[in-house]
Amino acid sequence: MKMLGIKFKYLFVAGLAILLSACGSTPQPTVTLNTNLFAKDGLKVGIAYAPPKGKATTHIYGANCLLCYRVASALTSSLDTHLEANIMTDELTKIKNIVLAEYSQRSKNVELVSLPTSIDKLKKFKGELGFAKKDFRVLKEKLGIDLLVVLDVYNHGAYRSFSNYIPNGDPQGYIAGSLYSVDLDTNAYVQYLRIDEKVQPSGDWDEPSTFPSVTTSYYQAIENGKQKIKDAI
Amino acid sequence: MRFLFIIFAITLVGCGSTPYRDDYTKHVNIIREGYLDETDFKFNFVENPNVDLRGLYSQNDTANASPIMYQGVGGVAGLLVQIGTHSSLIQSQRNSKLAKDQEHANNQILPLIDITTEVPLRDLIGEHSSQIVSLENVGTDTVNIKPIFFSNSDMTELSVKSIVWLPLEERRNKRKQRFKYKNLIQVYSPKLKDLQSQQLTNGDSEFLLEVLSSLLKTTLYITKNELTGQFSKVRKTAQTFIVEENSSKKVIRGSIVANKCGYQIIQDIHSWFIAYPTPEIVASLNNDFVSLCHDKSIIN
Repeated sequence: MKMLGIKFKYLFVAGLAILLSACGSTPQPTVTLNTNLFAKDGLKVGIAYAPPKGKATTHIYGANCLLCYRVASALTSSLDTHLEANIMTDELTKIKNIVLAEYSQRSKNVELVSLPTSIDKLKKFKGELGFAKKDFRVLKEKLGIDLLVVLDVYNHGAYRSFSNYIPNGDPQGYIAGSLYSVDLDTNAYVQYLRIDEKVQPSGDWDEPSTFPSVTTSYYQAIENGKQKIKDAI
Repeated sequence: MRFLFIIFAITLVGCGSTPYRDDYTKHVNIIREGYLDETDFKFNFVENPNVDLRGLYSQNDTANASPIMYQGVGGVAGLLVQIGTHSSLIQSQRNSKLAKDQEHANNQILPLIDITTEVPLRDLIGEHSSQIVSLENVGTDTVNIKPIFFSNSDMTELSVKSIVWLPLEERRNKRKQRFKYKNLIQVYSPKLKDLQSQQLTNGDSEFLLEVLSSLLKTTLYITKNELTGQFSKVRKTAQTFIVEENSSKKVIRGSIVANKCGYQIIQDIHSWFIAYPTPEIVASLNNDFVSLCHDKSIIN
C-alpha cells in the first residue's frame, strides 16, 4: 500500500513537471522571410488561411479568478453583442488576399490551398526553435507544393486588460494571429511573424449600441496588421 | 448570487469609464426639420477666444496591471470598499498617464505654442468675420464653437478638432438633454513640405497663422453646411478611409458627404465630420490651395 502511494506521488510529480515544461517553452521568435528560396526554379507556394474559430468578441486578460472573470464579462457584454452582430470576417479575407498578392510578387507559382486536415490534428514535430511545432511535411505530396504559407488568425474583436475586478483601460481594437511559411522538405520556418495589434479607441469607448470608437479601433487594428504583413513579405 | 453580480457591475461601470477629454464629444442631433437659415448663420467662440494649440500624442490611457490581494475582512461591504480603492488607484494612474503624455507632447512643439498663445481666433476667420457675434449677443440660435489645434512633434502635420453645439432652447424637465445639436469636426492640413516645416521651426508666425486660419475656415464651412441641412440628405454605406496622422496610418470608417476645396469631407460612424486632403492634394507638391480655397465664392 505504501509502495503504491510512493508510485502515485512520483507519477503526480512527473505529470506536473511535464505540464510545467510545456508552459515554460520559449516562444518562437520572428523569422524574417528567407528570400533565397524564391530563386529556386519551379518553386510551388501554397497559401492556407485558418480563420478564427469564434466570432468577434471582447478578449479579457488579467481577470484572474472565476468571479473576476464573470464580472469582467458582464462589463463587456453589450460590446460583445455589438461585435458579434456587426463585425464580419470580410476584412480578414482581405488580409488573406494581401498575403496572396505579396507572395505572387515573389514567385510565379502561388495558389490558395485548402488544408486536408486542421493544423491541430497534424502530428507533432520535435524540432528546435526555427522549426514548426506540427509536421507539415506530409502536405508536400498531398497538396503538390514546396512551401506552405499559413495565415492563422486566432482572435479578433476587442481586448481589455483587467487587474482582477478592475479594468486597467478601455477595450481596444484587437487582432491576434500569425503568418508563417514552412519549407515542406525540412519543416523549417522560412518566415514567422506574430500579429498582435491592439488599438486604443479615440475618446469614450462606452457608447452603446454601436460603439463607434471601439469599432473604428478594430478596423485600425486590421489595417495595422495588413501593413505589418506587407512590410514583412 | 445574481444580485451580487449586479452590484459589482454597477460599481464597476464607473471604474471602467474613459477619462474625460475636452476634445471629444458624442454626436447629438434633435434639430429634425429646424435647420438654420443660411443667411442667419452666426457663431461664437464661447469658451476660449484665443488659439489653443497642443501637441499630438497617442492617448493610450491603459495603465499597467496592478494586481492586489483583497483582504477577507468586512464581508461584502469590505470587499466593495477595497474594490473602490483599487479602482480609484487605477483611474488616477490613467489620468496621470494622459496628463504626462500631453505635457511631453506640448514641450515638443513649444516654439509653435509660444507664437499662438495670445492670438485671438477672431483674427483667423477672414471673410467669416461678419458671422461672428459678441458674447453678449449670443442666443439659442448662435452656434458655439470650441476649436483645439494640434501639431505632431515634427511640426509637419497640423489639424484642428472643434466641438460645435447649439443649446436646447428650453431645458425640458427631468431630461438631461442640454443640446439641440452637438458634434465634432476635425480638419487636417496637407502634410507640410520640408521648407514649410522649416519656416515653422524658424518662428514664421505669418505662415503658421495662415495654416491655422485655413483649418478654421474649413471648419466653419462644414459647420455652416451641416447646420443648414446641406449634408443631411447624404447617406451612404460605411467604408474604410486611410489618412496619415502623426506619421502613421489612421483609419476612418464612414462615407464621403462632400468634396470641396481639395478636401474630402467624411462623416464617420460617430457622425463626426472629418476633412482630409484628397489623394491628389496629398500627392501634390504644391500646398498653395490652402490659401486659394477660401474666397467668398466658394464658401457661400
